Amino acid sequence: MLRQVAQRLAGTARRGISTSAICREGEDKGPKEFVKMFRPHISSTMNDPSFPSDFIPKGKKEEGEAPTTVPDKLTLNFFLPHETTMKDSKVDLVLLPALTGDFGVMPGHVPTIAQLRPGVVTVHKTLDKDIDRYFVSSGFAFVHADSSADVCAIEAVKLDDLDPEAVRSGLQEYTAKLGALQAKGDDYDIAAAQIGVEVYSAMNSAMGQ
Amino acid sequence: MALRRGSSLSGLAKRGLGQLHSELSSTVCAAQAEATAPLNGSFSLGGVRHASQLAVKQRMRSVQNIAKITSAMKMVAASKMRVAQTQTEKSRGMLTPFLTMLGDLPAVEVEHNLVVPVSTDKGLCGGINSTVSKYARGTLATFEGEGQQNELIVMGEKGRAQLARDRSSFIKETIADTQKVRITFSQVSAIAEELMKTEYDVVRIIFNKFQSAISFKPTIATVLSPDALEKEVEAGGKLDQYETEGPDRAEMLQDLAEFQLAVTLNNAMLENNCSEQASRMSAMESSTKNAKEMLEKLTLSYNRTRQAAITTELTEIISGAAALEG
Repeated sequence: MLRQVAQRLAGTARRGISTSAICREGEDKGPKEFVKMFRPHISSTMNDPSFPSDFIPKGKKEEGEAPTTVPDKLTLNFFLPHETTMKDSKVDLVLLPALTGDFGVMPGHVPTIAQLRPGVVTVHKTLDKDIDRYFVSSGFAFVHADSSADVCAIEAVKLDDLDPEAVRSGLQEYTAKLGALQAKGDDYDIAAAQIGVEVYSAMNSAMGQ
Repeated sequence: MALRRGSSLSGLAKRGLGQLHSELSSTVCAAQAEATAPLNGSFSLGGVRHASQLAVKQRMRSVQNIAKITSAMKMVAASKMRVAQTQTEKSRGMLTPFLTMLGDLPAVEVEHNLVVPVSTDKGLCGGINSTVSKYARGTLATFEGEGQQNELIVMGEKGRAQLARDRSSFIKETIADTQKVRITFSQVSAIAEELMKTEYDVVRIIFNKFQSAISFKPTIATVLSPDALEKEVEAGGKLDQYETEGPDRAEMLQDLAEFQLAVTLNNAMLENNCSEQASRMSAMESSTKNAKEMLEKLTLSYNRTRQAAITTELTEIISGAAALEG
């Protein structure tokens, strides 16, 4: 804890002293520098390689720079590895199930990184009226300084799409499995069963809401 | 005269074959060998007046079969590409937050480099695998300085075959047969976990980024290890301005780095798969075109020789009859 505080203080001090130095340092390791190092080692007929940062959608690059005024809507992106559920949608409020407890994000929220636990992501497109609820298994949520938020979940389904029967039987199955395994004690299997119980009970309680 | 025509025909046949893709699969190769053999045999007989009709006919048939196979492969690749394209485009979104937050630092110099070229398992897909191998070799050479250690974990059979020729000492592992079923995130996570068993400071994933059906960009994605990430953050990364939820920052950074690896690898594999299908589509399209061109030329020469033979025979009969009369 103390270390964390010290770290953050040090970070702030550095930022306070010189922002340009930090920027330069970032550039030193960036794509341009790499191409300079890389060029002598490939044949002259080959093109320069590309980098993922070349393909970031335009207007995204300056993310993190706080605008002077707080916009009245939050820009929300909701990503899954196999799907882009929401892209640049304007919402009023998002409730996120972080590992340390639920929290809500509204425009002007401090930049935050939060790890998600199995739970419900509630998206208020308009406050208390147009509400979408998703069950997410796990993942990360990022809140940026420019009043935009990214939710990166591994799996997400609409809460209405969950089948109560299947959830109940799944919960039973994993609880029984966990009970049986705890006697034998293979760590990996126990952990897997524990995750199963955790996810299913989260689903169960989510549907109870 | 006839002999010269014969040799020019075989030259033509060879040229046409050269244009057919160099990586012709075994079926096609077999057909090709079978076709060339009798043709060459017949030409080596110096006294024969024209190419054996039978050999040319056989050759025509085999070229026609090649054209059929390649055009079928093109169709299959086209339909696979369409599925892969939507899948790939959907996977791209998740990269953006990581890149904006953690930055893209390909030039970072560390002790342990892990280079992961993503290649295909099957051939007949143009030059995308050799591109990946070339950039992988370049990356290895770039970080061959003192105190640096390079390792390769190759994805895909073709990349392994190419890199094993001159960089076999670097290869630590190969991972193949990942494309047989649709790529899922759980499969990718298992692979990422396998990668993390190696000690590394930075992973460089090299793959072909899909741009359009005819253009792919060789791309190098960089993922830092949790420790390296922490160092970068301390050196003044953007991540510093973010507050973290939870008590243990180091643990969260580790989870974040691992998650980033899985997400980046997921995207890289999908992009490369999509490029493979697109590249195969265009390779097979040009193969089909070349085979058809060749078939046209062969048909022409077949008909010409046939006509010549008939004319000769007629001349012989007529002159024979004239000789009897006289």
